[in-house]
Amino acid sequence: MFTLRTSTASAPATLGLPWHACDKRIGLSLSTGRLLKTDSLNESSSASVFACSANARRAGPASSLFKFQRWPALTLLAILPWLFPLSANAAGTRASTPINNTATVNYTDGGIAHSQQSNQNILRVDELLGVTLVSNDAGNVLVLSPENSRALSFSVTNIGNGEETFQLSANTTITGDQFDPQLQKLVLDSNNNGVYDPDTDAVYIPGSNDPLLSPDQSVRIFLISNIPSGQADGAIGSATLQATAVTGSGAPGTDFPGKGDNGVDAVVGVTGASAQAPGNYQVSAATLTLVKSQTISDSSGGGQPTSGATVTYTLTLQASGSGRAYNVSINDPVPLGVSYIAGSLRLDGVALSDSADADAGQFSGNTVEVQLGQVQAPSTHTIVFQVTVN
Amino acid sequence: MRNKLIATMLLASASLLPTFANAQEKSAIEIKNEAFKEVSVPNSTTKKLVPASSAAPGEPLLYVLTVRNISDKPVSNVVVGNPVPQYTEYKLDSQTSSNAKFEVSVDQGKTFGSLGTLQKTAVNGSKSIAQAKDVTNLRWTLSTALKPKEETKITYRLQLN
Repeated sequence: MFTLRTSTASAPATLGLPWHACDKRIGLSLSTGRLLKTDSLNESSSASVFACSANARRAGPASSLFKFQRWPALTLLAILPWLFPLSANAAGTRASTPINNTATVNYTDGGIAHSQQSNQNILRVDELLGVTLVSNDAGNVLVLSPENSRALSFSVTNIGNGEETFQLSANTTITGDQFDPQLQKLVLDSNNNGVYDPDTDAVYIPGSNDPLLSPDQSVRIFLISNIPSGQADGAIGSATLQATAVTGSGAPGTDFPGKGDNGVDAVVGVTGASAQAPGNYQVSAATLTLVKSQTISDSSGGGQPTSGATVTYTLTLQASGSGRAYNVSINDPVPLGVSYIAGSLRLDGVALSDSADADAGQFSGNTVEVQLGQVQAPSTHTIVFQVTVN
Repeated sequence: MRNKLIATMLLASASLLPTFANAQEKSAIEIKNEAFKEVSVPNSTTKKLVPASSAAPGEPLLYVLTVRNISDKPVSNVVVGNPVPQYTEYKLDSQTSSNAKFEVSVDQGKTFGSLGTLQKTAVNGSKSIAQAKDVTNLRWTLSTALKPKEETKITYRLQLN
């Protein structure tokens, strides 16, 4: 028995699968090279593996599936406030509402009943400035390194009692993480569908389209970053979004006379009229390694590749990292000088038929093909088939 | 604002109910209604009361009713009533008065009693003990006549919702 190991190389461009289904591809191939100590196996035997990158998600069936699996919690979160609106007075009585108070005194004077009203005391309700900011992401947003235009999702809510405009800012140089996301822009979820739509959602321009929110109203903001290259699987890159009331912010109780709705005073509430929330990107890559080995069993019970000897090939696909590879397929042309033994194909110990059918494997055009589809790292898959030396 | 207030006061005086007394006749009692709020004194832990022209949600307000007999005769059967304004809640046990019986109503003034004994009826008909937030009207019944030029002060707190 002998084993040949080879290093990964760039992918051959010919074989493979629906490339359109992925926007990034990992390809690797390896070659067993020429088999030594044989005069009949004089062709190289090589296998190749094709895969989409860990989390391609913008096109094709694999993407849709992934999206479905990853976002249900977020989708629910985004929908809930619309299904169950917060109580109308969560922010308190609306700013500038008059509070009218009149007392009455009744008395008897000389046996005659009288009634006298007090002055009407009128107060106006101050505008209370308050804001909350939360991340909508169910956890770390999984990304590749490098990858462009990935979104963190946040919601800004006016918890004050007046109409208020909020200015937004982002910080991506957070200490304690492993890399700095490269901030591209902030985007308003203009169509309010909870998903970053580059062609529809408006780019935020400070001072130009600062969101104006009624009491209890929320707006979803996407923080769009590029992920730098060279980041290891699992590396975290953090960013924070901040929203601050344009009327004013500062210590709770700070008063801005006349700056509130309809000229009432604006008063900073407990939030300081400014809020921020963090979001994390996490590099999640799957690295595929394919190793091919063989054992030979000749008719005399030895290991010589003589005519009639059986060669058992084992292809071991190792997915390391924490991400997923999509549309993974392994193609291994059977070398000249040997014949594939019908029905010998196994995947992880389970027999696969040779015909093109529902199972993952087939033998076609003198090539063993196994389509693994989605591979979640870390994992190992083993493909075994046998040939007879002619 | 001030002009509007005065105008409102004049209007209120002019429309004084003739069923009770001759509109020409000057009222024997004057009642003044003032609102205050507590503000922090800089560099101090104490707070001071300042007249309030506005308030933020959640802020407590102190109302002071000053009832004064401006006539030269004693005035009896003095009852001061004050509906709790919309958007505010009466703060439990916050009233102060002297020689007066304090009662509240939770049904817009139809019936009065002490808080803890009054029941409120929910939309579905179920009854429960009324809470401070259910109070709709405040009422003080003075136990003695107000002597000429005598003045009594009533205070209570409301919280702005």
